[in-house]
Amino acid sequence: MRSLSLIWRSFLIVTLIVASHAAAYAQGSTRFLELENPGHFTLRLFAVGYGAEKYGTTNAGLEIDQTLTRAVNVIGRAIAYQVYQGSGFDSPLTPGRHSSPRNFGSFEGGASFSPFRATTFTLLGGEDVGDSDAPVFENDFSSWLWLQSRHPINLSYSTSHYFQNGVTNGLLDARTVAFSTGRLLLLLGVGGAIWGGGSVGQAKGQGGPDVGFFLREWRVSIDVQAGYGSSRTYGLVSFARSFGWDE
Amino acid sequence: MRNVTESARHRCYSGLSRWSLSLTWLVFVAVAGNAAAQVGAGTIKELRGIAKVQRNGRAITATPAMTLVAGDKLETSRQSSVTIELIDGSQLILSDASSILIDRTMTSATDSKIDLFKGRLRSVVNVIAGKLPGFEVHTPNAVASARGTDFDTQYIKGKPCPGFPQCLRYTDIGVHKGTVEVRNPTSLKPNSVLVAAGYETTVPCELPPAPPAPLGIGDLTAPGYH
Repeated sequence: MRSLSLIWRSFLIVTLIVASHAAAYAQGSTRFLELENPGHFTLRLFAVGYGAEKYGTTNAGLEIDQTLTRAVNVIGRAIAYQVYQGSGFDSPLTPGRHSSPRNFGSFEGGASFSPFRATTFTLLGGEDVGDSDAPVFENDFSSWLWLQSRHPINLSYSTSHYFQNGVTNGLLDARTVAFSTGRLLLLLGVGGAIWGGGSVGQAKGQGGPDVGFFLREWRVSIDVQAGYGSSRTYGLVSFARSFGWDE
Repeated sequence: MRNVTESARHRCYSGLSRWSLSLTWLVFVAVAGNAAAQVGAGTIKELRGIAKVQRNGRAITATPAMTLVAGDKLETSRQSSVTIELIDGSQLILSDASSILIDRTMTSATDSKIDLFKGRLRSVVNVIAGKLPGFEVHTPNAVASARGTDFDTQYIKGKPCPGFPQCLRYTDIGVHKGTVEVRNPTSLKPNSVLVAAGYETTVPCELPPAPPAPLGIGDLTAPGYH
């Protein structure tokens, strides 16, 4: 219950952000109706590794994104997960007695909406296959504040609900562009996760500082986070590369 | 009588000689002027796809190693790009569906002015013996003066300007190396903005340039990145 309360609080904060954006960029509904011309197709490849004293997992996959209108994109994701031990913030599995790695794939589809500049909501639904084989629902939000400044700030959250084990999680992140050069952007911030319900029961959490690099020429992002929480000391490394084509 | 006729003939020859001298001088000036106007501004170093050169009202298909002269207008088709090496060693990389005019070029590594009418132009300005040339890229609503060596200029028409949705024509300037001074000559406020390496600015319609923001921040605001 506590985790859901925290998620609702973060949702409230996000609503306030959106309301302030809405006042600044009221543009009517044209963004939603005007076809994006030229259209843009994006392929994003990513890999994530997470290690903690009580939990270890890796996942890798791809995401495809096609613009429809200026404010609406369709998105598809295919991800391969491997859980090495325990149960953690993003596992749909119930803790098992056997210690061998468990594998599953996740296939999701949905849409993202950008009602204002640099603000996106993404809604995805899909199904797991393999050791987890139940539906999954995901909702992502990201907004950049003070974009036209040297240090814009990004606030984001991502919530998922796993029907396999009834667990809901929420990932929260706040960071800023610390500096920018001709080749890369350095981002610094704090992030964490809250999860609970289902087989996990009471809310659990973790958090810590994060550092991100974005290599402009290659459109590669590398993010590192470390901290402490319910799984004790943890570390998270993610890597992503995007490819884009105008149509 | 003969003397009078010869004198008249002499005056006539003398007048003709002056006229022919003047005519020769005019022809020389015209030819010299034309030669000056036809001074090579640079050459096409790389060509991908199709590009056209407008010269003296004629359209010529661009070819690799083709010499460009001051006054040439270069236009690329979709999915085409051209790399031009100017005579001072600077490089211009014209993206697809873009158009520039080589307004006047460097003959002594100073004063180069390029007009960008549409699309994107990347300018890699050559620094000779530590001296920065006067290098400017003009769009219909912005002037970018190089204080550095490597920057992108993009003029977009017919799409809402990010952050200024009512404005449908704008210029984006992103700096990879050095510093570029940006101003909007059509703005009532003559503010200029210095954009350092790693940052970019937007010049919307008749408004002054926006404060610099991190270069490529748009890539991070796309769906999928958080």
